[in-house]
Amino acid sequence: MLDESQRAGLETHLAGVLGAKSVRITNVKRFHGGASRETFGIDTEIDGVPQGFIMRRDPADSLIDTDRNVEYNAYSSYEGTAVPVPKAYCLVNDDNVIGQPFFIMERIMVGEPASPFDPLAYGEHRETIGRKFFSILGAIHARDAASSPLAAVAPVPEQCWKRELDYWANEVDKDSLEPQPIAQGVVRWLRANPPPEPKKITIVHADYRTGNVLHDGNGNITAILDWEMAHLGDPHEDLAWAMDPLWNVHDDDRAAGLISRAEAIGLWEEASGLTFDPVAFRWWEMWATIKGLGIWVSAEKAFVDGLNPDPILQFSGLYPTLHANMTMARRMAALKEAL
Amino acid sequence: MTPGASQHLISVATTLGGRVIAALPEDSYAVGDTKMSALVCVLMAQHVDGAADLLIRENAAIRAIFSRAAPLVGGDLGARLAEAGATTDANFRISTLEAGNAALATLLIELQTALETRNEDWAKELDRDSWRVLRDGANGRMLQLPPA
Repeated sequence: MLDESQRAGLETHLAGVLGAKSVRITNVKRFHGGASRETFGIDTEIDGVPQGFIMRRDPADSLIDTDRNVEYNAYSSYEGTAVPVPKAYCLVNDDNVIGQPFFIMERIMVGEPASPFDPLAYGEHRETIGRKFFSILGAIHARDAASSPLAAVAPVPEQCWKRELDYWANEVDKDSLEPQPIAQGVVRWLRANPPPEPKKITIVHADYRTGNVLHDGNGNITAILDWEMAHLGDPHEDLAWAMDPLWNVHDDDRAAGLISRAEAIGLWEEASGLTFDPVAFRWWEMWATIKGLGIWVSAEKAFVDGLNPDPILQFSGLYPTLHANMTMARRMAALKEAL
Repeated sequence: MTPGASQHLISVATTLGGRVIAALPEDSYAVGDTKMSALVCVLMAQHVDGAADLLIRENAAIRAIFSRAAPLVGGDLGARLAEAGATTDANFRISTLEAGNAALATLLIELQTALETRNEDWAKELDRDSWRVLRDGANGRMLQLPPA
């Protein structure tokens, strides 16, 4: 995972960042998943005191093409706020330290992610987690975007919806291994029915779902992770993605499989200070399935092309792809029936 | 063949999820890889059992839409719809059925795009019916995750 030269380079770099006399790496472990960036747990002794870090490193072929500057500055944007994020320590954009770009952040020692497909993942704390999950999403959107570190590296879009649709529709076109009549129909509908302009441009996490949240098993959320796709845009984008049926663990009456949609929206409104727009949401929830499909078919292509042999990409191109197509086809068929 | 392909895949998944994982270091990356590979086997076991049936039905349903649409749409597209509507699956190998399905899906995209520009009742009805075919196909393709 890290050879001797890389370890030595990282130890020296961390010593400089932390102002420490000595840094010794005692263990390195790679975490499973991390489709856009490889994630390592780094155990160290800083001047003799144990301390854990997370290193995020670019993989050979990423599921999602993202900018590590964006991810690093997104974490920095919420340091010291009500949004629980690990402290971001350093960003290295060249190959001089370990031979490839990476960044280092705090390792959250309490909490683990729940499987996004396990309905019993939170046990008796499901609704408590659900309330916190949507309140924290509101807090993300309450933060002033223009003054955030993220604003320095993420441009303010002129048309949020068009930028997002163009990007993800292109991903579907570029990476699909077979014709996508369902997705093509949805993209035509999205272009013909653009959403209203957002009342407020906010930071958008862009992968806000239960699988990217750490919880302590006692009903507490300890960290919001995986900000690699963060950008400025319409907050309904996050809300729609978080409520996509793929994450509902087979219970469409519960947002993210946790609490009722009405309660989730109410908590989000309360924490964000924003007003839910059902017309905008309808557009963004249709868009969310295109984004999902874009991610899943890209994963499938990377696996089939041999660029990344990780079986998580094989799975991503299978079950989630079928789920996205099913969701889109049901919605489009219902729309056509209503005409 | 007894046991069939689905049963063999389930057996592979059981071996991976049981004996193989048990033999791996608990915190190794390979544990996650092995769990994922077992899960893919479980999903493929469902897929192989129904794939041919679903593709045969869907290809026939799309061809029926094309045959209805051909005289109404007319022109070059109508001619190609008539031709595609008259085709049959050369055999029932899944690779053959999928290749045929891909060709039909490509033409279906063209047909739906054309139908959306028209206001006649027949166009709306064909469009609606074509989405029913896609919805039924997507529902039929859906696989079930095993309990966590």
